[in-house]
Amino acid sequence: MTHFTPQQSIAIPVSATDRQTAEQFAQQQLTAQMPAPKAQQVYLNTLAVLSVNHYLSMLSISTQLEASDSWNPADRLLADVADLSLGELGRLECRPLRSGEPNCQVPPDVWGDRIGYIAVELDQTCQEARLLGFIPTVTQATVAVSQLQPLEALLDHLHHLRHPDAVATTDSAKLSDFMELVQQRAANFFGTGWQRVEELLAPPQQMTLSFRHQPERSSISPPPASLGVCRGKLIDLGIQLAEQAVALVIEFVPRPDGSARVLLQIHPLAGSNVLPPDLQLQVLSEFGAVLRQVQSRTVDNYIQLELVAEAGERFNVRVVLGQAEITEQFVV
Amino acid sequence: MDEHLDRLIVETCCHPPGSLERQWGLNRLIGQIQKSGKLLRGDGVPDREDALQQTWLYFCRNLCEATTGKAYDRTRASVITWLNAYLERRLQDSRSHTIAKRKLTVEPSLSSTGEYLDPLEQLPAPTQPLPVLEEICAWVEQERHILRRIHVRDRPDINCYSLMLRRLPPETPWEDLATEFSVAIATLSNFYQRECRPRLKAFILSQGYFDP
Repeated sequence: MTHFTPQQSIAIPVSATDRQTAEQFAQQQLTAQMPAPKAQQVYLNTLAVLSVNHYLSMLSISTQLEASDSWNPADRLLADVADLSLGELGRLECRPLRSGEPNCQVPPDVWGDRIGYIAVELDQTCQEARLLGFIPTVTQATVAVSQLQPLEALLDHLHHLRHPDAVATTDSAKLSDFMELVQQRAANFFGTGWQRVEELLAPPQQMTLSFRHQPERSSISPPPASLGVCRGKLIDLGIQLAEQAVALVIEFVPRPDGSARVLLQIHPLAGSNVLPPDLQLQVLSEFGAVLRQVQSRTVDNYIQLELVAEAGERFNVRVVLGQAEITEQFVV
Repeated sequence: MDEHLDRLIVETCCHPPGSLERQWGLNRLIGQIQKSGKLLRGDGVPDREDALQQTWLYFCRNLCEATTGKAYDRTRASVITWLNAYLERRLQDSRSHTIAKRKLTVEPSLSSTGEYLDPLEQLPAPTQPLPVLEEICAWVEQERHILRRIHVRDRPDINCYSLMLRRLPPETPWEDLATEFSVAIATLSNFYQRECRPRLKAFILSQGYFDP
């Protein structure tokens, strides 16, 4: 299965029962003499959580709605929470936004102990919730819809949390074999001219590369720090970027079946915290069709795309700024 | 289109229920069927969203193997025909249910000009106000000597008492507090979630404010 299809969102119908629950929760805030915005926040949060709950239940992913903070009236009053408990796995935060809003708000209340964030767009009448995408970690209060990863990435992420890597971590010999294989496949994938990220980027920037969430609790057999390999390369787009060099950073996470997850990011280099605006990062098919793309805005710290490629699949990555462009070829 | 969906169904169903590949496949199928726009719309049927919800669940449970109903049989009908048949029955249920129960009150309201109103604007006004918030503030004041002693390391000014009063609604934005105290938002928020919220929650629950 190739996952190069353009990003697709899923619409979840919001039933009258769902809206009644949301209204009831919002009403509790009103009787507690909360200002109106608090009741509205609770209304939308409740619908976002219910919609994600419907979606996960469709895919047979078990949840514990009633164990969620969003289902506790005291927590709803004390914080802006829209979490959905997945039991042992942790809590998934379901952040609501209204149709047409370009950003999803993620309050500091929920930056800490979440296994990921899913953006839920509610239409005007709150009869339809659109699951726009997913992001594993956040470090600021606003996430642009364009930065979200597809829902497949969420499924992948949950799967990896549930099976701390399909590799048998109990068998250390088998694990070291697999690690060796990972290194080999990564070496083939990257070819020459790629540097370790530490050598390329200043330390704070490396923080943003935590796209694979590492569970903080200690599991019975701890998974290796990362089964992925991360490399970067300076991108020289000629005079246009003379004062603002950028780096293409790629995390390559091979999977036992031969496929791989690939996370692509563009970071500013040396002396700048932001990317030049209108810088494009594109993924192209072997034959040059643009499969995915993302473009920097005026103050982006980085831009990224994630994809899943099958064994042997070829694709190109192109970085474009104005007339200048550079293309790199890859085979998984 | 049908042929494409067919291929995707075969591919999806060759993976066991609950597997990642099965989840990917279902996710993609749902997206593509929704995008085709070929499902019945059920316009005007009260709570058609409930009928749709049931239909998607039925789809996921019975596409590959019989779980809550008969399994889908590709040789008999296209997947969209199969889904529409189920959806039509659920819409029918909803029509007759409404006549019996008159549950129209939960439908979105129409304005005088015939436009749908935003449910957020329709939230009911408080009926019997309870002074919960005032009581919480009074408790914070009463406990202030203890609450002041619980603080961010080396920063006695950032303590439970000072933060609780500022974060109870109408809350001071985190950004403003971070500027005021010259610390990172995450430092404040982490401290609040770890030390303040559980204490406030325990008080709220002990008072039984939200007991049914």
